[in-house]
Amino acid sequence: MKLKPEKIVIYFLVILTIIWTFFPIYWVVVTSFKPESEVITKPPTWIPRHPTLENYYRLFLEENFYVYMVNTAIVSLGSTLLALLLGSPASYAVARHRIGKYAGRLFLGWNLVVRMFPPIVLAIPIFTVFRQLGLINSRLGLIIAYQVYALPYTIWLLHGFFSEIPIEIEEAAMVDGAPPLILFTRIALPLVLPGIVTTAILATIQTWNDFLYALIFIYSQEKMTITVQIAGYIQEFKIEWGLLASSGIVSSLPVLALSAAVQKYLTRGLAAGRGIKG
Amino acid sequence: MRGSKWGWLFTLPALGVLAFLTIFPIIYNFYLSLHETKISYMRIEYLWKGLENFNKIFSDALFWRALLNTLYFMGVATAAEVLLGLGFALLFKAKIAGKEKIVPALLLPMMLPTIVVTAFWKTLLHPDFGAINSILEMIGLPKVNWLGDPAVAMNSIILIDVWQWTPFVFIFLYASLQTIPRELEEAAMVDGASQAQIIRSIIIPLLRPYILIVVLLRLIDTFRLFDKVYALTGGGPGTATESLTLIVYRYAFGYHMFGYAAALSLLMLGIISVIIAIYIAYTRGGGVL
Repeated sequence: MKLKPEKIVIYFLVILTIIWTFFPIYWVVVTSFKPESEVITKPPTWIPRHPTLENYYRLFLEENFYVYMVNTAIVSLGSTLLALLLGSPASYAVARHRIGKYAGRLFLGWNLVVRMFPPIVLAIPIFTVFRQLGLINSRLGLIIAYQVYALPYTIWLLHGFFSEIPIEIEEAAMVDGAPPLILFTRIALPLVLPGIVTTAILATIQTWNDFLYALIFIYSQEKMTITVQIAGYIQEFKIEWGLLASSGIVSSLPVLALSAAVQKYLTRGLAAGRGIKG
Repeated sequence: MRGSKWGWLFTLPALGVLAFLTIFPIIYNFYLSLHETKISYMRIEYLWKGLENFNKIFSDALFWRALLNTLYFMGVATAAEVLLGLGFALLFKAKIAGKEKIVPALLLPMMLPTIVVTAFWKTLLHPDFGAINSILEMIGLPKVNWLGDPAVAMNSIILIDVWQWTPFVFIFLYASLQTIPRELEEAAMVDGASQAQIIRSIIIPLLRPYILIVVLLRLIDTFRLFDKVYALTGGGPGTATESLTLIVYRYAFGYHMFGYAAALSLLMLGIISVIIAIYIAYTRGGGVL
């Protein structure tokens, strides 16, 4: 098969795009397997000459990185759970127009707008109030604070999923006299279960990635999340190459696994995350 | 259709939490902004200051610096991401072997936590042992002090943001391209139009509403600039990478000037509300209004 010159240009550009995207990741992965002495050799080695796992050992055995991973998992799963608990009945009622058309629109509109506010704006008053309530440096406090973004996001996505299921199924049950709570828990919830799982995963990724609120609301080392810990590595005067690289990789793996699971909803979720219905 | 009792019952818990976490804080921000706060253990004293906090903003050189930096970051990063993302989207419109595997893989950067992206680039941009300067040296170009030179630092932060968020613009526009009916292009091709003409006269005009939306979304997101500058430069060198969120964070949580920080954050809210209003009006509230 002969390639047309146009095709050659296209494939050349595709390769450039791939290099631009993956070279930084490749570099960090390689760095994570190098001993300190090899990181500071010139010219740099593009494939580790003395591959080692010492950076990962250090991360887990000396730095106790698993503690921060557990902390992050607790607050992000807790935040998602709370958002689902509060958000699913609300988005169901709104999707079925049970709070009136205008109230429903206003409610959804507000959920959309709030997500676009800069996070620092709400953090200041919430912090001063939480301080008086004793919710600072508490995982529960952080989980509640995360509802600022997790709840509107969950409501927005779930509203879309609930709106997609045909109302006829519920109407049939309604004729049989089933009360709303039964309609919701026995019929609507099982039907949107895939949507709920997708929403839960997308919301968990967002909280997992958060930095600002974790920085503001938690100050003791044993409750710290991974992003705050990694920021510490970045700021250290003497660069800890191995820790920077290995911590970055280790803390990305859960997010990548989660996003692979919801790949086909990714565009929809991310667009909604920034305010669009996909 | 009128609401029903159980509808409100279902909505009330979420409504209560949202009111407590979003509506009340905005009102409370107004109250804070008119006071000076004195913090002692478990209690806060409020001293009435009237509009003093707002007056102070105008003579605060750090604020003006951070405002200009933030606007520069928003403008340049958004422009670069949208141009590059559009380029990627048009490129991947072509028939490419393995496309269905490559396109999702290219989204990787935007899935990573911003702080992790920042950690990655810390090792790439190191003046002596970073990958970028090593490559520059190998091909005989002068090394660049990416984060230490005040004239370069903000552009380095932009570079990181472009790497992280171009995939978002790409996938958004790539998905939007699928809405353009193929017949339009085919008809133009039959009439002998070149690929460049098709892109310029058919695709770009039809894509314009989507481009506008993605520009607004990127402006709203870049306005928040914090993680990268907090961890990488701390706003420096000098004040070269100070951002609005960074200075508000420092006034509030570094110097405990909650009143002044509240005044600044209300100003931030005012600025971003303009863009949010355009977005809501243009998309009709994301399709619900």
